[in-house]
Amino acid sequence: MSQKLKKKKWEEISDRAKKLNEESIFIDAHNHMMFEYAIREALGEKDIFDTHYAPELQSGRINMIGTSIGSNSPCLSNLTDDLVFGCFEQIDMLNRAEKESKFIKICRTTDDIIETANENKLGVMMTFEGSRVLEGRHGEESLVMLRILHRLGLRMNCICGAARTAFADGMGEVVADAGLTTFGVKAIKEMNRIGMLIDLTHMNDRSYFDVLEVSEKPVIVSHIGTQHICPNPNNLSDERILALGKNDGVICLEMVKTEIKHKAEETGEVVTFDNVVDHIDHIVSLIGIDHVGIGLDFDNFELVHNVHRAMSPFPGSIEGFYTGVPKGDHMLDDPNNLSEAYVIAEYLVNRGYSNEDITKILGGNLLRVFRETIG
Amino acid sequence: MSKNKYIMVDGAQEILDAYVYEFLKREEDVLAGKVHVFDTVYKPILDKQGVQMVNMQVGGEHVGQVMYSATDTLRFWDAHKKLDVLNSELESGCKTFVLCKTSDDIDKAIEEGKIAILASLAGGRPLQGKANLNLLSSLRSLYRMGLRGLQLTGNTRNRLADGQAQERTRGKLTGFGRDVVKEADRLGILLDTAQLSDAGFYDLIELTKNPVIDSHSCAKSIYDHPRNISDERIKAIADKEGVVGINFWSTLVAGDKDTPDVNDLMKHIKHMVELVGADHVALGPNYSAYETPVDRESVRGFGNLGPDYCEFDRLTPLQSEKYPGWIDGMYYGIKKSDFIQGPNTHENFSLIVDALEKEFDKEICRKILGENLIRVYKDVLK
Repeated sequence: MSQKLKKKKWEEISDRAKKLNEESIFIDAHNHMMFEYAIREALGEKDIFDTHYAPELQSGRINMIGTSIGSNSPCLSNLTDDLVFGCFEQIDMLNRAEKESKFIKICRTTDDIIETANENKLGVMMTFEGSRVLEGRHGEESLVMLRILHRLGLRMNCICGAARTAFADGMGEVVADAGLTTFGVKAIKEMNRIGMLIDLTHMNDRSYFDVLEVSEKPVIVSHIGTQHICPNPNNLSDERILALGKNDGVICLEMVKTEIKHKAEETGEVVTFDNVVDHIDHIVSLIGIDHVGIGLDFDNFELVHNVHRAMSPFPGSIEGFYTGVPKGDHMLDDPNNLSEAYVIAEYLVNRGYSNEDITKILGGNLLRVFRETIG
Repeated sequence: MSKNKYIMVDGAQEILDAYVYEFLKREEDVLAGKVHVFDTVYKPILDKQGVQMVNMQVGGEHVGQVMYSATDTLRFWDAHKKLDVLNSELESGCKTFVLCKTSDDIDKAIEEGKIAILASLAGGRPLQGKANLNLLSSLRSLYRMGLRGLQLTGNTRNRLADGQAQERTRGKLTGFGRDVVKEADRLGILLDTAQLSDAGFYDLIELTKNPVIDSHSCAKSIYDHPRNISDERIKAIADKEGVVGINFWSTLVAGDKDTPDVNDLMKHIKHMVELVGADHVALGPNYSAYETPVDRESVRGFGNLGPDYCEFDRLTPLQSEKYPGWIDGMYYGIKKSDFIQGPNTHENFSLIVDALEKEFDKEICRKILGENLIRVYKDVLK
């Protein structure tokens, strides 16, 4: 590390930041603990959530995480190519965790989230990152899986990972330049109807704007940066940000270095949440404070250092698309993991955000969107 | 009969269920060289049809076509299974057909009066490998088994491209789709644009260095159905020295009529000949596997389906349980007969010959009935 970084312990942050952490409902919209959780279960560990994840979240003052329980590839579907089966196994895992854990509560409604925070429990909302699990028999355009998974607790659906789904293409699939499919349109309408929050992270341009035309409810982008600050192809263009503002949705900022500071992994420079605030400033300047949230996309666990690439057949490949091999730690230097997430409020305080604004960023905006979508 | 004057090619035909099931039933006898079920089951039907060459779909996308395989992995298996049937027959001494792998194979088969088979896939789903991996090994594996034709999509989306039911996406070929096209070019696999969306079609036309076919479609300007193709598209195929095979499905020929007949079909043929000339028109009736009833109860492994099961039009109950008349993501409606009146089955195929002869001179008939497709097949196969 070329620059020196003085990291603050909880005791060292300002009283104002402490108070904000304690009084806000702090939501991390995107998390990948289930990958490591599944491995721990396979290794025969007991009380996994309370031993490993609860202390981290409590230390970070996070009240709820949206955790991926299914996806387009084995890394997020309980290590199996049989994506549907892997997804259902992970749902079962979470339900068993809820029974044995002192802290965990599966959140299905906005009130669940608020109660969870009030009871000092830790909320988990089931989400997807890539929706192949929902596809069903091809050509049939059946919404059965969507409704079943909703009944089982799925509340946020990030429709795309890198690759193609029956609904829309991910940003890895730039070549086809395709919009939303007819099935995609049906699924958007059904998600609006049953109360499932649509997440447009990783979606290609055409489909992204198609969804914003079709959806009658606000949507989110659960983990991302902005291209204006960091020209990573995954990040949001201003056009996308403006469109999302019109939709009244929320953009959640993440802690993956390469999407926050351009080529940071190569230069080895220190990247902190201060750099993330650059993105937040930019979004606020375009569409205002009501459209910013947090979705850290933390995937650097003790047993698996890079979840997304963990089941990859080639180094650097995700869902068949090459995304580069990270050098060293690909998470922000500060906070470097969820247990340090309390520092986010401190960075926001230092950059002049008001208490009201910070409360919105930490979770208030997401709560508004949850209220309007999942109920 | 008039058909004997021509070398006739069926540009799109599903391999007969009856043949595959008879093979399964008598697999041991076939392998021991005691019987060639191609000769007992399939050849008589092709002889009645009067064709010497068939673009034979040995698998693809929709469940009725792939022995009810419900996943892409099983579709991959299904294509291998059917190619294994053909290869096993040949290895055990069947001499009446050739699984054409080269241009010379086609010449030789026709010269020797054998049935020339060009094995193809009707949709690329069998090529889709692992969820997090796009590899071309599946295409090469099928190529080694004798696959020489590839239709990229059915009506819906797959990981290669979008089908005609998904025009709204305006999606071109995917990165994987482009890789498949390049590999097919390299190997010498005929690309078939039937059921491919417009954006995918023009992308493919630009990318491939070989002539392409649309094996079974009709002209949109004669009957407007999302499954038919525009004049612009017909011209683009002709510009690539390719061929369009006219489909005999009622819905596509004249879906607005109760019982379209051969006169309606001729409108499409005449239109295309006027539009791009006689060198680019052929026949792809798309006679389906279920045309010949199968006594499935007697087939090992299929007994539980029961004989009644196959009396359904398998396209309707199995693929479109949601809405009647939907197939593979597109509305076809329910017609009195799937195929036009007249040449509605293999054995009535030759009725088209009379209709063509009424309209065109012998040379044009020869081209439409077979020469055009054989030209393209030979162009593409190494």
